[in-house]
Amino acid sequence: MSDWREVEERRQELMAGGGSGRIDRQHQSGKWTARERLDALFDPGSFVELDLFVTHRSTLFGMADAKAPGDGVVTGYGAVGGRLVYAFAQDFTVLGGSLGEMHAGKIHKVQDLALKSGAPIVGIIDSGGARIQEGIDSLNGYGGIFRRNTLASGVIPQISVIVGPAAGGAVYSPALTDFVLMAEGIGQMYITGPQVIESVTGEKVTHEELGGARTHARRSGNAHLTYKTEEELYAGLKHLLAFLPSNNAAEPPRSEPRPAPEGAAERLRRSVPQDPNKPYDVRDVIRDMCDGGDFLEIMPEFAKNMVTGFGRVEGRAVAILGNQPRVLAGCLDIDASDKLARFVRFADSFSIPLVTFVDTPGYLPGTKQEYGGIIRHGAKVLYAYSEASVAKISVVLRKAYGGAYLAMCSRSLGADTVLAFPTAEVAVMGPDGAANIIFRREIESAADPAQERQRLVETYRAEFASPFVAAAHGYVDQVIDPADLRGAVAHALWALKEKREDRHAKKHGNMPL
Amino acid sequence: MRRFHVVVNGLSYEVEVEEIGGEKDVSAQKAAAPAPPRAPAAPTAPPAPPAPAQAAGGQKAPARHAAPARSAAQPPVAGATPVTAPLPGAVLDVKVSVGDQVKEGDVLAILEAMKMENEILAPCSGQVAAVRVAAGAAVDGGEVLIEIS
Repeated sequence: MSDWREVEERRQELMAGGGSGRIDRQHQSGKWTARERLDALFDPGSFVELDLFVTHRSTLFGMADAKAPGDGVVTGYGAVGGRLVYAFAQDFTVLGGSLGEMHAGKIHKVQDLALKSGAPIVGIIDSGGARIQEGIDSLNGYGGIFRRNTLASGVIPQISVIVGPAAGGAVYSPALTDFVLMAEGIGQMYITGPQVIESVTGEKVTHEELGGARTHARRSGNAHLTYKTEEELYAGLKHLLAFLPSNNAAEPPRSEPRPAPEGAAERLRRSVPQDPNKPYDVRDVIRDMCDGGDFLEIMPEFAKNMVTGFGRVEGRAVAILGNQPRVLAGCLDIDASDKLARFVRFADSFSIPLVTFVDTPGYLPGTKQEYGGIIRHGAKVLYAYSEASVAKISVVLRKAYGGAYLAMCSRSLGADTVLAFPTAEVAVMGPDGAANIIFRREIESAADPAQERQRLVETYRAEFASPFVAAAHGYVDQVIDPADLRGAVAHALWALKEKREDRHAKKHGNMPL
Repeated sequence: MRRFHVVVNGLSYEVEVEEIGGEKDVSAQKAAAPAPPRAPAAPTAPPAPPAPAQAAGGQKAPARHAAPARSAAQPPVAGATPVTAPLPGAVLDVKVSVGDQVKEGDVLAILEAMKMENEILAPCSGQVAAVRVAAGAAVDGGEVLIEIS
């Protein structure tokens, strides 16, 4: 019969993971161990480990004698900022963190518990991939993770942390989750690695170029947030979690209201240039609206013409979107549409109100966009905003023309509150284009067509390119002094606090993908 | 053999077109350059890659294959980071010259496109190795404006 001493002995042995040699190697490669990572994430002393004694039951290919403490993954739950969070962390020091049947079973168990308990789950990925010796049992393990990721989507927030290799099928669990965080230099994701690529296509590419944090942050859009070090990563992860409710039936956490940054109101009057040709950084407007200027930008390096992120107004978490006039003139394109739609759908799933800043000349013209499928990708923007039943607040900063005006959470798509700065130009198209069409005859028959054209463009601009026509028709509710932005948004959030909007019962819509 | 004068983006080209067995072979020769931005095309250039086809008013340039083979004439600076036009548009201003030191995020040029004076920012810090365009030039999306080493 074993007593408590034996339990403790066994525990100590298993807690050492792959042993000091492998732990040293893990550190030498710039990585933390699974338990160090969980310590960094959870409030001190709050983590409860499950299934420490689980190990594999494989006998083939020399596996009978292979020791695998915890079967290469640490699972459990604990408190992050006092709130319940489930987690699993793959242990690279044990069989390279490879995923076998029992390893997967442990992950399935915490996924199920997190879903039942309505708590967010964090997956920390550092794994050589499928444990080949365990064959299709290992594959089945991945399948079970994917299915659970999918069923939990929209019920609990799911976050993946990539701090090691994630190759082949292993990348699909992160892709199914809501947010992917990566650490530079150590986290890598790809479907086929550099060796396979070289053998098939002859292309030479390094692991980091192919699937590193920078690549996924800038080019592929697979990573939402990237960090220089693991330490920064876990701090960033906690910052993100603080904006999110625990599940789809809970409200986003409220925090103590903090004032806007010093001088915000005055700055807001100058942030948007009067001249529609002048670019500016929409994030300046966003930060000046947020409590303490705290704006957590999501995907800051990808599709930079669309800004997405979280902030708070008077203590309430909001999901903020904005066209970025500084990049691609603020045009909507394929990548911006993808980025926007996924962010809107996340926020709507978890009842985080949407605040949308509009300043876009339209969809980006070009054959690359058309052949790339901007029609179906652009349609995602319309779908996501129309589908969203959470509070929808739009602020027209400047240009809001044509289809892009409609797409950017217009009244027509169900915006609850539409605010406009005095600089707003809500119209069917820009003054130049509109004047060319409406006044074509006048321009052609004029003695000096160029001058006449210019005069008519100005006439059109004065009459139609303003917030007042849209306000006269009720498409804009309030034309505000930019200095009052924060107050106006805070009031709208308060007024929409209990918003309910029912939809037809259905299995799910058929979103353009 | 037939000869045409073709104007693409304000540049005049002399084009010879010869019909061979129903297939048209097009070779390009640059006649005059009213604006400074383009480097002379190599006269023996092979059929050029598609030209910046977007002329003012969104019309297709009449002879797509008649533009100078810019890439052949201007080999990229080895090891330099090219800064490309994110959109087709007109260069309003170039703020740097060859040899200038720039920091990541510095404004290198202003490109007017989509009715916006877009700032072209340095993607990295370094020295300006080449300036491929001058103010007034019409550029295609993806065209190299400046190179930084």
